[in-house]
Amino acid sequence: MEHDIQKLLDLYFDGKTTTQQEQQLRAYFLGNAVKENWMPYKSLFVGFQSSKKEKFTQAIDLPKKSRYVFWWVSAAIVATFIVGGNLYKPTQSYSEQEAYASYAEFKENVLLVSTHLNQGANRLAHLETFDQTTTKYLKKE
Amino acid sequence: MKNSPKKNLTEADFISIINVFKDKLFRIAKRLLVSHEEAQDAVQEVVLKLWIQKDKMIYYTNVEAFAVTMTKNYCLDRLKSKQATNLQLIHSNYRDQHERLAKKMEARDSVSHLNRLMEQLPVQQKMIVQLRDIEQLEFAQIAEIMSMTEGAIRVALSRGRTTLKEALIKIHEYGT
Repeated sequence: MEHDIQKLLDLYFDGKTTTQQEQQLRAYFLGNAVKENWMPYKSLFVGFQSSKKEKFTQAIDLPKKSRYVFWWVSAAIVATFIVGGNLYKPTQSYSEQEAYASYAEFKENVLLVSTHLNQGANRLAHLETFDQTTTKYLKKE
Repeated sequence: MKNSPKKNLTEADFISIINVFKDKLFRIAKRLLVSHEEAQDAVQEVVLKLWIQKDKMIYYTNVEAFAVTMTKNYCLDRLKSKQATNLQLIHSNYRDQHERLAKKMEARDSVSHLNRLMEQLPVQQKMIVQLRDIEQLEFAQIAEIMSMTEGAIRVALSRGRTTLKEALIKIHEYGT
């Protein structure tokens, strides 16, 4: 047995083994207690065997669905622009008029607020005289 | 793997084809790139490329060999572009630390030992040992993937295996 294995090992390290012969070697070194000077070979075959167990654990993500979604979304955006552009033109003059009207209204309101504010400010002038008179008394004391 | 000549490959069909060899692609990518994350990215990239040309996939006699070749080429490109930038410097620093650490470890863990030893092999030998001794592919397939003759494959395989053997013998002598 060991003699055969030695022969196979020689072939193996020469790169001349067949698939079947390599299977034999694997079976031997994975299954048996081997003699001391063959331990390196055992760790070689055990190492290969363990390496083969590593798995790809991630999920495979294919872009197909999201790509369709992308096309639909971009089509929708383009459609919005086209439709929006067509709707915008005729309404432009109307909204311009409206804007002028509301601007005028706003101006009027602001003017009204302003005159009231000025009236209020005039009344504040009395405060100044009050302030002066009080400080006069305070300084005297 | 043979596919019946269907016109359209559904997503489920595609995934089931990929599932047969995705682990293999991952192990090959990891062998070349070392990094777990980079190997995952490589597999996703290759699968995506296959998906884009999935209609042509029906005509390939061996999708698996084709996918392995794509993975190999992708990883070699990645390695090349890494070498072009100073990433290599970072990598060699990392490797120094890695080796120092590894030397402290006992010579018991044959997997991590073998992985480290295989890292030192030239890329071609590394690939061939991976394909033959770990993935257990036939010589004809390996020749196709590597675009080499079977004779050249056997020579490279012999060199790779012998280097690993000698390194393991050394470890065994000093380690125990």
